[in-house]
Formats: sequence, structure tokens, C-alpha cells
Amino acid sequence: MKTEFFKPATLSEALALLDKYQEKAVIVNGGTDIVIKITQREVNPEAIIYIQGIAELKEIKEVNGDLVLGGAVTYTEVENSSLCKKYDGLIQAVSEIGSPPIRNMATPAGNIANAAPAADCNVMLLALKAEVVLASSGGERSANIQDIFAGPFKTVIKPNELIKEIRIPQLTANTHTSFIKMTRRKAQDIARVSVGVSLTTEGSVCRDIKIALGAINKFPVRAYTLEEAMIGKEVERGVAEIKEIFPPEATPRKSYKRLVTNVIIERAIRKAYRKAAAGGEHVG
Amino acid sequence: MAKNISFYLNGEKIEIQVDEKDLLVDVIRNRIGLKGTKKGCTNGDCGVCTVLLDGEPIRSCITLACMIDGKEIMTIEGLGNAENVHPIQQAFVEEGAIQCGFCTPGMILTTKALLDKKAKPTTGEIKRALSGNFCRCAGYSKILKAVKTASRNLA
Repeated sequence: MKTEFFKPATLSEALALLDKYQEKAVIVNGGTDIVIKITQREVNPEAIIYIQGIAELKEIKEVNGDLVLGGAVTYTEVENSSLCKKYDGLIQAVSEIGSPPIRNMATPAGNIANAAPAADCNVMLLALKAEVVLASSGGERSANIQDIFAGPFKTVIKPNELIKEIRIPQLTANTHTSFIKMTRRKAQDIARVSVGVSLTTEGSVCRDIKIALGAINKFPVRAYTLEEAMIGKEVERGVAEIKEIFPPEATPRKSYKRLVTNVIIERAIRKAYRKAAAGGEHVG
Repeated sequence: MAKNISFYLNGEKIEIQVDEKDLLVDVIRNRIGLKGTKKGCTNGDCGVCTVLLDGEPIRSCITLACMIDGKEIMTIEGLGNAENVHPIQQAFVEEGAIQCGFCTPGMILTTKALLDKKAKPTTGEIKRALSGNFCRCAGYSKILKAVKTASRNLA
């Protein structure tokens, strides 16, 4: 079967192509996941739509205080962006993905669409309550990142939709974020367990917390039970209390993950809390 | 089906017809005939297929040739040759940082991108930059040394 390669210069051009080819099209962004699937013939598209030429998707900007990552922004661009700096957890998550050459190509939007259960950035975006803006020729819709994933490598993104941008809400005052993953190697490894945390404190009290878990379930999940157990308590007391509670939201298939998950959660909370304790009133 | 693309390879303009699904590494090796770029894991993990795209290291084994239309690519052949040995290549030779040599083009190109941005990188920065380049002879300490020597020689 023949395959055509398109490099649209505008979003509307890309959306028109998606409309035409629907599920017979694949979007190539950084290509680090999808190119392997194309060459291994896991997918046999009639149209390859390469979106790195679309300038309007290459922007990182702040809109009403929210951080907006364009759909074709690479991890290296996130790492180097002054706007992304205050999201410590995001920087920690993206700077450990793959290796520098992978990060030069790979994109947060591509990893959302690929929906690998262990994808680091997806976990952190869940802790940050990110929204995914999906564009199609019919218009735009926005979905919470937690509603995007439908299973391992499955999303609710429709064949004619494209991730236009990722919106990360402005951090409220005294909010600090962190990300920790457990891997076998320091570099270029896939997380066995990963945790993203967004912690809002008032003095030593936890006012709000979001704990996202990756590489444990079929897709990243929030540990709501532990979050509720922490809110309103001294951070130290909360951490001590949740130590022994395995989050019921997590359903690991491998037993070792049961043994390490709580340790990684504790480390991630402490990492965020250390920032808070270091006197960082967050300038949001 | 086929698609005409044009790009700069080691400073020279290339116009070539490729298949839409051709990998950049295959076009460089099999069509253009430059064999310095290696094909290893074909998953983007090992780093032997590293080329520079507009000066930044990328993996040519997970990049479609069509994706680099209009861009500038540098392979190891563009850096230096036996007559004109580049200081980074010279440093790798001097420090004995080459064993089987399979990872060497990728190591050297990644080093070039690093030193272009940061003339005097720290050990940590070198390790981080080279973290995606595997040497299965495990000659890492000499490679580290070679990058430092190259950094000194280029200064």
C-alpha cells in the first residue's frame, strides 16, 4: 500500500489532512515512538502527517498565568524554557526522559498520544492537573489529562483530532512540585515506578496535594486516598500516616512494585516539601 | 511511491528520491554510501546512529528521511578524515578512547555538539551529554578523558 508523506505548514492544513485520511493517517511529531511502529509495520498508514513544521504548535507561552506548551514543542525546548523553570517537577520529569538526543526530538504531546503506561511526563502532567486541547477541523475541545488515557497505548483522542496544546494551570501560592522515578539505571531507562507530586503548604501544614503514580497501572493514576489522608495535616504527620497505606488506586501486577511504591511517594513528597521548607514562597 | 527531498549533508546539497518510510540512517548508509553512521539497536537507544541535525544530536534510526527535508545534517565524515583529523577525533586517538570503534562516530558527534555549546564542560555535563551513547567495550573512562582532552585542545 502506498504511503504519502505530508509536512503541513499550518494547523488548519494538518487538520484538513486528518479529516481526509482519518484512521488511515498517523501523526508524526518527534517520531521517537511512531517511526519504529511505522518501520516495523505495526501501523500501515496511507498518510504520514509530520507536524514539526507548524510554527503555531512550537510555542511555549503563558496565558492568564497558565503555562501553555504547544503540541509540537520538544522536551529539550521545555528543559530550556525560562517559563517552565518554576515547575520543578515538570523539569525533573522531562530531563530524565530517554537521552538528550531523544529529548531533542520527542514531545510531551507525542507521549500523551502514545499513552505508554510509564511515560514520565504524563505522570507529572497528571499531578499538575494539565488540560489537553484537542483540535479538529470541526473546532476544539479540552480534556483533563486524566480523561485522555483509555488503556496502555490507548487514548480517547479521535482519528481527526490533534493535540494542539497542553495547558498547565498556574501554581497557587506556596505550591511546590516534584518528580521521582525508580529505574534500574540512572540514564535512559523506563520507570518501574514513578511519582509526581504537587504540594501546597501553609507553614508545615499540607493544604492541598496531588499525587500521581506512573508505570503501575495501565495508565497514570492519582492516589486520591493518600491525598485525602494528607490534606489538613502537618506534612510530617501525614507522611508518617500514609507510609503504611498502599494506595488502593494502584493495581500493580508485579509484587516488587507493592514494596517500593510507598517509598517513592514519600521521597517525592519530601522533595517537594524541602523546597517549601527552604523558604520558597512560590512566585506564581 | 517516492518523494523528492533535498537537504545539506556535511555542507553539500543532496537531492534524492526516497521512499516515505525510509529511515535517515538507511538513506545515509545505503543510498549515499557514507558508512560512518552505524545502525545498531534501531530503537533509538544505543546511539551509534547519531547524526547532527542543525548542530544537535539526533537518532537517524528513528528518523524518517522525509523529516529532515530542507535541514542540515552532519555525519562523522563531515567532521574530519584521515588527512584532516578533527581535534576531537585526534583526542579520541591520543587517549585510546577507541576499542572496537562501533560507538565512536556517535560518541564524537555527540561530543562535538556538547563542546560547541559548552567549551569547558564538567565531568557531570559530559556524562549527561553522552548518556545515550553506549560503548559495549565499556571504555567509558577513556572516552571521558578524550572529551576533556578535546575540550583543552580546542580551547
